[in-house]
Amino acid sequence: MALPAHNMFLRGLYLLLIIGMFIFMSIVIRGYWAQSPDSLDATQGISETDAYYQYQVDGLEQQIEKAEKSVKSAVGLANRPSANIAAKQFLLDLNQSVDGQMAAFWRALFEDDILFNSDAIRNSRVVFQIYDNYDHTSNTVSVFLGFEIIKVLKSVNHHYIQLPEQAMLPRKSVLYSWQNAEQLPFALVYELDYEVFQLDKDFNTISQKAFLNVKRGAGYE
Amino acid sequence: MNELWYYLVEQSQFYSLADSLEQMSIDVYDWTLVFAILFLTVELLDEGISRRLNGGRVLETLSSLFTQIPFYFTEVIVFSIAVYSYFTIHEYIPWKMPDSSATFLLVLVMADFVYYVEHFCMHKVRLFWVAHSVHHSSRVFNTATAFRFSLFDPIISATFHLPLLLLGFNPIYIFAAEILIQAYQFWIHNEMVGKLGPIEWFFNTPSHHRVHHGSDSEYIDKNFGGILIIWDRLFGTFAKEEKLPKYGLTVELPSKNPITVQFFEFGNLFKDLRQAQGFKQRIGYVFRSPGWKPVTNNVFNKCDKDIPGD
Repeated sequence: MALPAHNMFLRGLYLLLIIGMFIFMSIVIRGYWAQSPDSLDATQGISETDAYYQYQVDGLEQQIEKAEKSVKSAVGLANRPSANIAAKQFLLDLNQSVDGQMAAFWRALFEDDILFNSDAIRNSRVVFQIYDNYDHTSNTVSVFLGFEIIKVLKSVNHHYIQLPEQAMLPRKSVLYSWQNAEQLPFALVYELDYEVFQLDKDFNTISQKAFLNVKRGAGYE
Repeated sequence: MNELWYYLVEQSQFYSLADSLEQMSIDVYDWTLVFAILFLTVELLDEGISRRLNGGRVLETLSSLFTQIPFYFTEVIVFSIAVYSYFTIHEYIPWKMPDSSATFLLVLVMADFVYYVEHFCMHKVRLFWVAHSVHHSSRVFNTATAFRFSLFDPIISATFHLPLLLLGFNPIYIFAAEILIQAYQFWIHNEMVGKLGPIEWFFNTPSHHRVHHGSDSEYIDKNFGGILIIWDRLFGTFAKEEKLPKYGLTVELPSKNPITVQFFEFGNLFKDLRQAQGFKQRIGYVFRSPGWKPVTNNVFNKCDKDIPGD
């Protein structure tokens, strides 16, 4: 069985293109596969920096297990590492549409070239959203949106927040937890509670974890 | 507090495997189209240099590419309806398969089998063949042939994948598998790649698919597989490429006009239906094999003189 006569160079090029296509497609598929939450490759195809955040964001179960062993009464708390955050400050009015305001805050964050493009940021795909200074009278709260920094950011327009190393209560959403605080096993401090968002390459949210400050005292140790 | 925001956060915060599969399959398909254009460019250059390219082959190639226009319109409409319908039906199915990578691999293999069955039916049922014959009507076999579709093809495909949905699989898994299987087809429509050794045992290859497009008697209705060729080997529809096939239908189309290409077999079916005597014969013409004729006492009427390509 003979194929029609071909130009040798073009046939070789064609075969290379096919091989290239399969290699390229396997890279594309592997890229998604590595992100897959149940994939065996989920921890293999990621960089050292990502591994750090993998540990930070997704390693909660192990941390909770450690907390259970070391502090009997602190079941459900997670030890959080310290982190230096450079952030933009916004005021969230809880009487207004929260989602509309949040969308505007995030837009402002990503339009902030000084912060977003700085080499001081550890990982631009991990965003910290910190809630502080809740005002009961006006029903507002300060929201700091930013990134963890590994060196000083040369800007006077941003806020710097040091998140201390401490045990915190992991949940999904800070505001939701605040609203349903009576269902939580610990009393809340309502200060420096924060959410960690992990984003994909297109800046879509992959995961969101909230960490809540709880009052030290009875029931806490 | 805005309850909607919480709802959106709750819905969107968790990255799911289904989202990933949806995006991955679309990415793969888009990139496949880019590579397909490169393949076709090289093929046409090669034909030009080898002095095989002539006006007829150029027209046939263009005709194949033009079928994408009506196909694309129905694809968008049918796919939109299918997505809505599949998700609606999925809601009512009490048994649901777990979301995992293993489930997707299972869906991919099952969808490949569905592709085989669908493809088999497209060749064996006249109603489907009038649509699918568009894909087979080209006398030229190059990457452009992979683009040659009937505008009715999307309807057939959406229908045949319903059993997977009824088994409780996530609709996104089914669509993603369909897209990947469809993307695979672009590299097997060519005369540039010869036989590929052991790969030919398990996978559909350019050699196997050339046979499928052949109008030679030994190649008709062979090699229906999508990604895997094992289905044909299992069910006895496999044929090895022993000689370069003669492509196209057994009866050549009178024109390369894209409208003729789209509707030629519909005209033939319409003629048969007009001359049919009674309901039973009409049903026979629509649902039996292409080339089927009613049995009469006259033995000379029993021959299948109009068997379409394959």
